[in-house]
Amino acid sequence: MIEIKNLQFGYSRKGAPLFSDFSLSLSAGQVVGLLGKNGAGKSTLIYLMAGLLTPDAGQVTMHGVDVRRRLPSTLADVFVVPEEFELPSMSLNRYVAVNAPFYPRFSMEALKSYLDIFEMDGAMPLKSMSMGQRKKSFICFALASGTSLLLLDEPTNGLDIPSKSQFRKAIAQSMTDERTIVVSTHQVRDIDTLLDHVVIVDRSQVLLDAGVREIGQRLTFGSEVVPDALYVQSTPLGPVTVSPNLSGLETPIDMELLFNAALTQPARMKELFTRK
Amino acid sequence: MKDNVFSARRFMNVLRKEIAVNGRTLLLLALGLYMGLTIVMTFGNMMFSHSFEIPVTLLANVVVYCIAAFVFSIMASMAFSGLKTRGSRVDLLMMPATALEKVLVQALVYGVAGVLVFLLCAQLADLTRIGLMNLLIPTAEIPGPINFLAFPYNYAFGVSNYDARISFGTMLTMALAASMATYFMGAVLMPRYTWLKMMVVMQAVDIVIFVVLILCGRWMNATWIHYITDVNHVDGIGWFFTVLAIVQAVVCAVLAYVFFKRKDVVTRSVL
Repeated sequence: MIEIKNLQFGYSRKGAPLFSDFSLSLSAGQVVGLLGKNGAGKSTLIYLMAGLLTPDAGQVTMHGVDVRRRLPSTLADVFVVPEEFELPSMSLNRYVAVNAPFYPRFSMEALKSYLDIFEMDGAMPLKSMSMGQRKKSFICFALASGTSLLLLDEPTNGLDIPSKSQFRKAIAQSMTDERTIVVSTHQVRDIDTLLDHVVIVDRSQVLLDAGVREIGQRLTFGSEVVPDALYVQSTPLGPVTVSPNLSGLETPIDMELLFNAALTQPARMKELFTRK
Repeated sequence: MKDNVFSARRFMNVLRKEIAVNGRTLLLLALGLYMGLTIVMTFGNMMFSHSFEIPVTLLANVVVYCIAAFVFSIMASMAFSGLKTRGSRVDLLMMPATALEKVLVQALVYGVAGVLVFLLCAQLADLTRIGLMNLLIPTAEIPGPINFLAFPYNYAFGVSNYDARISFGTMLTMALAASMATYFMGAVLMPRYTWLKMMVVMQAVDIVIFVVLILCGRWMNATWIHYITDVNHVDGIGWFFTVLAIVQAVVCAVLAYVFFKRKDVVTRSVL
């Protein structure tokens, strides 16, 4: 669905580019977690996937169409919820009335359902909402837009604990076989139960690009320290480890440990996931 | 959804959104404009009704034209307010419409509609002037209502054009259109500037273009243009400046479209 091929991009012509010969492929019907350290380029990748930035080289296509062309049909099929956004001085209902016509698959029923999940009132003026409420309103609209690609940059920032649970419920409810939701975040624990696919990026490299089922089959997360452990972390309750899964049975994933393991042992991680 | 360059339905959606988001601000501006013009016209009437023998149409022409030039420049520089912050830039660039539709909406609202609103405000202000003068100083000389809605025609084609001579009014109107287009382009190029800062920069650009044109005109007048000037037909110099003003307006409008089409959500360093 989304193909990134040999992407090259940097904010400054001097110095090393943020992405160099970067390639990635995402298919439909998945919730993809885009993880990386601060400054790894997660937000930049989101913008590049949306066609909001022009690559220096390479191409980003969605359904075979170059997103940088910003064709109306492509724009009507992609929705971006950036980390910082602005909403006009009007009620949510008015905002919906003005913006919904742009999205052919927008669903009022779906919007009402998401507003109910988040316990939001459509008549409330957007400017009088708190940041968290505005975010929830915007996320409701984004989910109801019916676009086949939804890009969320740090969506749980500013949400309280109950709202994070509501967010997970709304995302799960919005998923279809034709839709791809990419969530860029460094707060993995907020979304770890949602993810179908994980992409970890660091310094222009894809450290991990795998489905959660495959991750659970190839890795095991526990407290047993084994000689060939990829990663060992000391905690007050004792060590926690990431090790190769020799049994082949799917095991529960700890996203934070997975992220740390990918960052500290990228070569071994790559070797494990390319091995048949 | 079809990807044709222009769709009336999409254009109307974009226009509707622009009015919904910025309509209140524009209405307040129109109100401020009406009140400002009322004060200026009433004050002008008070100042000159007892003193000078200045024809009121000339006074209205000069004052209103100067105010118009100032207001139109501000309006053109207010275009593309959606480019000012990153959040609003994402919203504007991701709006499912073509760049042409988005640019045309801005040109319509902050160009054409702005001019029409100005003329309407000027007309209402003039009528209010008459009412206020009758109320405050009924003994003063109160000229009758001026037909501001005829201004575009009077200025575009001059008082008399039966001999097809390019009038000073036509040149001024084309120069005003050229200035507005320059500011419009500036609004795309420098969205983070305040309207005042952008106006100063683009006015400098305008002045440079004007000086270059003057020099070109003097050179041309000194060499060959006076040979083709026929006093019974086209005024060579006026024709020259008018055409160049139109060219400047068209070039700036096209550049505004091109720059907007290439706009990214984050402006990258060129170094």
